[in-house]
Amino acid sequence: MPAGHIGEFEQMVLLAILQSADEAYAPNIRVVLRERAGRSVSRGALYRTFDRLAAKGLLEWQVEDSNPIPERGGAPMRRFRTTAEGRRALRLSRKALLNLWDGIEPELEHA
Amino acid sequence: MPMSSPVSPPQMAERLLQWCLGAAPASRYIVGDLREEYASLRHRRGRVIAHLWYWRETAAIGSRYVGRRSGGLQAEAGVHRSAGPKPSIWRDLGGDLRSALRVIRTSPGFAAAVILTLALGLGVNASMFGAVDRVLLSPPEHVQDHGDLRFLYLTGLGSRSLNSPTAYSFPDYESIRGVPALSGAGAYRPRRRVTMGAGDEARRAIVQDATAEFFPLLGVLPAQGRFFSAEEDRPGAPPVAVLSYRFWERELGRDDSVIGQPVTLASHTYEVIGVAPRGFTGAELGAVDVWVPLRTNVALTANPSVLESRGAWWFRVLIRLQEGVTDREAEAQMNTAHTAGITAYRETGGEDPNDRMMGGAVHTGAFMTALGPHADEESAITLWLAGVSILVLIIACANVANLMMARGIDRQRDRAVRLAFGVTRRRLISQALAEALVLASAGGLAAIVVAHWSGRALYGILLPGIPIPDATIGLRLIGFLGAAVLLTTVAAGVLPALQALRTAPGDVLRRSGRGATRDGGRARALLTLGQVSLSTVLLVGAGLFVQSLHNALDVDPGFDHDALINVEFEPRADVDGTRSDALNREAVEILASMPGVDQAILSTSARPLYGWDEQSRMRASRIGAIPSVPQGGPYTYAGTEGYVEAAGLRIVQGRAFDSVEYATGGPPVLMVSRSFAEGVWPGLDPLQECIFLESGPVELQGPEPCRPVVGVYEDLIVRSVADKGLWSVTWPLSRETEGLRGILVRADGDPIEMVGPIRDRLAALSNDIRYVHVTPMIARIESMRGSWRVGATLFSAFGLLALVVASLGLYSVLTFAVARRSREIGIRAALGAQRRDLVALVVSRAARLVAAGLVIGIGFAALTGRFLQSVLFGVPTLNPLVFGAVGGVLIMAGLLAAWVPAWKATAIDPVGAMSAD
Repeated sequence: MPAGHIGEFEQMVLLAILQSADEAYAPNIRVVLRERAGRSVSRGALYRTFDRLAAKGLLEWQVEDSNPIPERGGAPMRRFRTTAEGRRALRLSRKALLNLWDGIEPELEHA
Repeated sequence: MPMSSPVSPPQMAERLLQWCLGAAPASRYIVGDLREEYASLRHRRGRVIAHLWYWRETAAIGSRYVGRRSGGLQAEAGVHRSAGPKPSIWRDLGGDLRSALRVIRTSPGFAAAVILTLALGLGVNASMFGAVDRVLLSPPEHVQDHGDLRFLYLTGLGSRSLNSPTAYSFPDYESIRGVPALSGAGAYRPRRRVTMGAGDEARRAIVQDATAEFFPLLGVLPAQGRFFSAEEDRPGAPPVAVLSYRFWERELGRDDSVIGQPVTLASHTYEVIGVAPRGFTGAELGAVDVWVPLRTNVALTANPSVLESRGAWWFRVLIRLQEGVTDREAEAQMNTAHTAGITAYRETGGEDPNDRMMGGAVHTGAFMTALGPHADEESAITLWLAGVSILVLIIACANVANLMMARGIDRQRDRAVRLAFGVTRRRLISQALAEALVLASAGGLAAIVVAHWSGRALYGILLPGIPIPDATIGLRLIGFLGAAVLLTTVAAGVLPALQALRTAPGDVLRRSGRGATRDGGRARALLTLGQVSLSTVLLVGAGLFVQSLHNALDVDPGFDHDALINVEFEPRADVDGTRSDALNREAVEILASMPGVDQAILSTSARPLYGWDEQSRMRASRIGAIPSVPQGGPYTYAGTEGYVEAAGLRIVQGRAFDSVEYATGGPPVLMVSRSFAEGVWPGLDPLQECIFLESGPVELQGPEPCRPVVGVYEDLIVRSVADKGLWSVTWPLSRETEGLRGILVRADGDPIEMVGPIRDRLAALSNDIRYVHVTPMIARIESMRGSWRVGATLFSAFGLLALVVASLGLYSVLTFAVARRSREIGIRAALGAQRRDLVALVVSRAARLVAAGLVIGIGFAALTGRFLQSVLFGVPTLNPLVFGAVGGVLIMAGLLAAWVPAWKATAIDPVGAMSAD
């Protein structure tokens, strides 16, 4: 598997992080995925994807103090952001997809 | 984010989640995210929905993380860039389990063999455990805090042996009841069968008398209505009854209106006041249908004086110790009260023929009777069988280890390659253990099915009088299985694991494919040897029991019992003795003229040939008092004209009574049993002797001369097959004798076929008859052989199971050896070895294993057999016949197991075998 290759769901997660901008906390990312991509994801799958993307070096997180949110009971929260490598992977992936899509759209429209 | 006052998610779920996440880097954040969303959801949708949601999420997330839990919380603060999760034990375990699961998919034959073996071994053990648990470990249902309960026993004066628990008199019970060391006490009578209802509706019910104190003592609460009050438990109180749940369900369809209804038990009417909870059987395990108040009922049905007699040991007494009181302290207090009670009794002129028992001491005994001083035969056999079933499990484990090692050898090359690539030996071991765990767990699950199925059969055979519990598979049983699965995993997995440890990659790879016969060969042969030896032991046990049963079947009861039938009827309560006598005479007339009946006569006892021990009032010519013998007696039997012939007594000397002797006022004579004659007048002619009946039996009125002996008959077996040389004396009675309550019928043909017609004919005789008991003698004799039949059945079943498993083991060893040596066998074939040489090669290996196993097993059986002696019947434990038969069976099984491998050996293609690699 070439470095930087990402699966469909990983792509979506990275995009959702970018969409969430400064509010990229896990619960928000789920909301974005649901509302923008129509994907209802299980939390377990999402967290595992975060781990995997972090392991690939495509995203990173910043630990924030959770004191303003008493419901968290002191558990820290993390805000995600994509790494430069993550953004490059997205670009590559987009390019690959566009190349593949090139010229077949009219045909698919009638399908 | 919506804010609300801090609320916490369900604690259990959160702990579970944290456990699943383990040290995953994100665990703390995940927990926090979930808390936050939980609070929001709870605010919007309420607590229940939020809780359910949290559990669902826990399951969803947990299942993703469990088994992959990785070590080290990396990057505590600041920007985190993970380098990927590190391998850890947990992660490895997950992988090992997955690869073990793959085994089942990829080698279904191997997996099936292992799982089946374990299912049988574990399943049989689980159902045996169920029986042991029921008989020895668990208190009867609904009994609270049984640890404080004790049965009371009395020892006779100067005697140290304990009487049976049913040897307590009611006054003795009353004197210890109030002792401060006890928080409660209760008495009951052993259960008995009583006729319930009348006429066509009549049936037998199991009744137990219990004091009002009995139910609160056990801590049981009624399912319907209530138990007896003290007011209802006194002589003369209106009779009341409590039904068992089983009886209420079976006979009355759980009719809620039962409370207040009348039931008739042996002619007395009782009002139903309550129903006991489901499964309650009192202080013992045997089924009970109805409980009645003891004091009321004894006064009503027996004699009120029984409650005041210190010689009437009719009762069992159960006490509960106060908290913190020891048995010693309680015994001391009770003995003081007991002695004081007896002293007072003697001072008021109380006297009893059984005085020798009075003044003895009170002892406490375990509540679980099986653990107490009077454990019954059932518990002894149950324990034996539990031991036997563990042997079966050991054999099964050995077989599984054997199969797994065989597989391990097959995969040696694969292991060597992995070692060479740097996989640690620890991983290999944990893989071997994971494989054993997965297979043992699957076997455990299958064992539940086996246990369920075999449990019911086992209950039926082993504990026939004990109701089968609603669920034979309980939590304790599952717990037992779980523990057994773990033990099995270790037992069956450890050898293959060691094998993994010893793999030397270089060696293996160099020799690859060339049949390394040494690998684990010795260990596997030893395992097979062990299996054969243990199977031999079990089969020897089975053989000894089968021979015991055979001996018991061969025992000659001493009289011609085949066509004999006992008949007895219960008259209504208001029927007096004269009317009863008339009914009996009429019944005999009718029976004698029935087709299929050869003879019908009257006899003294309700159970003909079940005589009374009358040593005390007999004197023999020449010697005077009759000496005591261990089995008691002489027992006396008597009947009207034709008795000797009807009972089938076999005359060995002299003659039977003639009709003059049977007639009223005829010459008083008697007959004696052979052992009696030999024991009382050794070396003399018994026909020259006479016996004097001192006080005259009830049925013989007036003074008695010394009665000459006119005949001697063969000894009878009456109570137990083990009866030997029972002393008995028989005399003739006239038809006019009063109080003859037994009828003896000799059938023309099959006595079983006569049971129905006789019962119908007599039931129609008169409205004064409530119930007719008709019992063929063969049924009585058969029930005496019960314990050997149980032993023979179950030992044979276990023995056979062991044999099958061991044969499978042998088969797998041989098949494997042939496969490993295919190259060698191929070379031999190429060099001109004949078919029979190749067969001999395989068979001789089987023969060596079987022979060695036989020698070891028989040696072991010979050493341990004597412990079995007490439950066998007339069988020496060093038994060449049994040893020979077992040897034959094992050799046959060995040959059978060698058959296929031997055939495979002859079918090996030399060219293919040598070129294969």
